[in-house]
Amino acid sequence: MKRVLTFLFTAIVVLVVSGRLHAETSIIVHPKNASDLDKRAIAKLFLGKYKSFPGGSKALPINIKEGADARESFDSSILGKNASQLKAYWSKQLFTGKGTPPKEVEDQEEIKKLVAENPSVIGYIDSDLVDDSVKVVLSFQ
Amino acid sequence: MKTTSKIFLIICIFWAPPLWAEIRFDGFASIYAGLTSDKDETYLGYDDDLSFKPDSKFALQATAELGDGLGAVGQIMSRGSDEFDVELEWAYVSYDLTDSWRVIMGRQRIPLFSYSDFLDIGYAYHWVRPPDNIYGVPFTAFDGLLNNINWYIGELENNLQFYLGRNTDDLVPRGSTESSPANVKLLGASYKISQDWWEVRLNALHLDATLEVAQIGMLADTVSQAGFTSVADDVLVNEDTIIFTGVGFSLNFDSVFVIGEYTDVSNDSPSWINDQTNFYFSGGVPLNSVTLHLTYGEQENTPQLDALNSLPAGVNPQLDGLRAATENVLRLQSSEYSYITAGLKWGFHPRAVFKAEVTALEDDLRGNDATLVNAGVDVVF
Repeated sequence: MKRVLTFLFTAIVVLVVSGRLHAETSIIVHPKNASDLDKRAIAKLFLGKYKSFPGGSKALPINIKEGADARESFDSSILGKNASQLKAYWSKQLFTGKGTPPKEVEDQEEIKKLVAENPSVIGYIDSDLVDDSVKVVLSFQ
Repeated sequence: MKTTSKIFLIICIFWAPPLWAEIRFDGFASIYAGLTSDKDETYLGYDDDLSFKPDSKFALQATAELGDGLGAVGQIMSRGSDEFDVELEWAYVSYDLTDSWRVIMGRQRIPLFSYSDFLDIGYAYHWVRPPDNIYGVPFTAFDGLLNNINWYIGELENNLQFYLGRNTDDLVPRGSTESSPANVKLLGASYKISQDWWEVRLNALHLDATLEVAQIGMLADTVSQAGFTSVADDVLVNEDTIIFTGVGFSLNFDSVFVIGEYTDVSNDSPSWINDQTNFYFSGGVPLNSVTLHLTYGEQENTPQLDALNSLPAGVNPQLDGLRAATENVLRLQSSEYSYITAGLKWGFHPRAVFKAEVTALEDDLRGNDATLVNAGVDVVF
């Protein structure tokens, strides 16, 4: 019995700690981008349904590469779809000439740099990496 | 153009793109095996010998973004049903008039029914192929101009497509096994309204069609020579007006989805082309990476026998023979059947799905019942 309890306790601790370790992600834009963006608007930008920010200026969404933790949590928390649903969605768009998926980059520092340099770019990175060069519009776990 | 020169042309265009163009390459493939359960059964190109041809295909697409809303796409496809001959399936230039209005000019898919424009992208749906009673139309592409417009009313997403163009490819009409020269002019529109979990789609297509089927031509010549020119007119498909209309819906809940479509094909004047009504309903249950699904559909093709009214019966054996021959030809396209498809889709890899399904066909008109079993994979890359 004691062993079982110890096991359960350990399991709970591990789960709680790993939950905490699951990094918070921030959606970032250029500091001069004054767009008011909620979750729905961000999802529409990343699904190619909106091509411009609410203010009217061109939007250029950038994804982190497939398989990255931040990508998976962005896809499920913000877009509300899993990887295969998104693949099906973009296959339809791409092979019927309706649109192309956002460009992908390899690492988060590169996303931060692109956002800091270009007012059109919107991306997402671990909240720990956020600094003054970018502006956070939304954070999520 | 020969296959090799087509491939060479595509490679030349996209191998050394100008520096200012951003080019991406994508592709998809479907490899399916299938067979019917009995030696007398043939269905959708399969018989009781295992075959990979009817539903297998391989496609490569190059998409060039040229900036300022200008784009160009070329897609080549090799189909098993076409002896794996390589064809240029899509070749067009697109231009974004505004953020929500795209104009597409060139060779493209007809957005006729819900699954028409991505008919070949098996990865994007649950069946091995979308229901054949609706999607087994003799031609799926056109050369012309299409407008694609999106707008929102609150959270309601609206999409309107309208298009015009023509198709002059040879085609194999229903009721025939031979390919025939055709000249079809199209004018069509489709409208879709959707929200997160539901979608309703309406479509209409006006065709002006000329189809030179050898068998009909011979019959028309014979009846004309016998003095019945009006019968010849009623049988020939010569600048005939054919109207396609359809309605579709889809409901997506977390634990279940239901979709359905109803389509109607009607002729403005008597023609060899049948009046048709089709429908299907399909439901599925996604369980993690596996989706179980079930579909029921029906087709009814009604021959137009008006032409026979002008051919008197019982006057002499020769005339009776002509009448019988005419009726025979007019009934070539007729059909009345229902089918049930049960299957599963398993997403075993982020870029690939495995599907297996069984379709049981019940032919109420000719009794050509069949049971077809398929299994295979769809891949996108």
